[in-house]
Amino acid sequence: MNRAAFLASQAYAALLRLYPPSFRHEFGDELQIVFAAAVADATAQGRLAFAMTCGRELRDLAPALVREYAAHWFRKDVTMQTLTAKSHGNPVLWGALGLGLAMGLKYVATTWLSWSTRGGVLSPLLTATLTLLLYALTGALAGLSLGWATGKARALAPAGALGFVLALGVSRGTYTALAAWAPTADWIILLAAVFISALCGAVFGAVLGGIGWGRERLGWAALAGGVTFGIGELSGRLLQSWIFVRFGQQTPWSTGLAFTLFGVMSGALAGAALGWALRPRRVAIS
Amino acid sequence: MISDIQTLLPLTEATFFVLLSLAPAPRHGYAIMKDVQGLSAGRIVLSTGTLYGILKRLLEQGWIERLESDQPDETGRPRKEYQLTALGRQILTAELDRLQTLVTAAQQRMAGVEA
Repeated sequence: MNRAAFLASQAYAALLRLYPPSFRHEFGDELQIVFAAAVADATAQGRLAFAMTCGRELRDLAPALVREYAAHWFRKDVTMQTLTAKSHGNPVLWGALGLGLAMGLKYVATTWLSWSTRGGVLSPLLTATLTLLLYALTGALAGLSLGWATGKARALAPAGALGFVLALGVSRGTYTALAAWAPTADWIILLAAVFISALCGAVFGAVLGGIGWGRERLGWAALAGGVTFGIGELSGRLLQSWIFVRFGQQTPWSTGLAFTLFGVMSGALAGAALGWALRPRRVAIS
Repeated sequence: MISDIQTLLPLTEATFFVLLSLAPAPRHGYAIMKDVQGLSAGRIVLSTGTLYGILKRLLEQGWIERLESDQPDETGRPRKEYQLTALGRQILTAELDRLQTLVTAAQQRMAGVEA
């Protein structure tokens, strides 16, 4: 075995640790033997064959891991097709869980970004890029959880990412510009923030519903997103005022924690409403 | 029984070729991989993860079973081989019948078009 083949076998043995323990214990030895034989054959055929063998293993690693972990956790035969094309539960619960978790993560990451920017660690351009990526990730996670429950994961995960970037990117930018320009009366700022958040939720819901089901679900999903995001923003602003009045200037940690918890709760409300709007409907057959 | 088997069809292409590879005799993992590549004229080249994912599911479903060969593998332990069970052979036969029906229907229709 030459050096490249030896290194490839070592790397392969390390990558095998990523598989679920049950799969690794049952097939780990055989996998290593088969890979070593494939590499030995490929090495004899030249560098291109060797590279293609290693590339094929890397390419198939992620789908194989998803498949085996799904089978491991859910104790049933799962393929990528069944993972993304079947309904797997109550969309209200999955929506609440997915969007609640996504919003919580978003608040944690936003707080970190805000501190990094304040300390001059990150440039404004990098911060904006990371923020948009964060929005895309949040939306994708929310879309994936709703899609998992409704059998539309392939459509709703990218739709969620697109919807959230559109909604939060455009709306937050508008809000920042408005806050800098408009009279700074608190109630005007509050109304503007609630209105913009409602708009942002409506766009998010409309993109999810529109891409997943076309015009049939666009209206209800937009309404669910708009109302719940508006309620969330209003509650958040009131919570912020209450924290400042009750406790004065708090540490970034305690304020960040309070808003993360709030994000989880308001996200869960929005996710539940979107899950209700996007739930699979029974079709009456006469 | 036949109607039960029909609910398991159609097979994915990779599963079909793995079962077909085991039809004449038991084989070990690497032999299956090479045979599938040959049977599909190089179109399907299975990675180790994909191959053993398929073998795991076929074992769980009872379509194949594992044997320990007399010949040791590279680690000195008995080499593991896989063979079709009676159920696996029935399913493979049913899939071949299904494909044959499709091909016959298509050939008849195309013959009508060409005539």
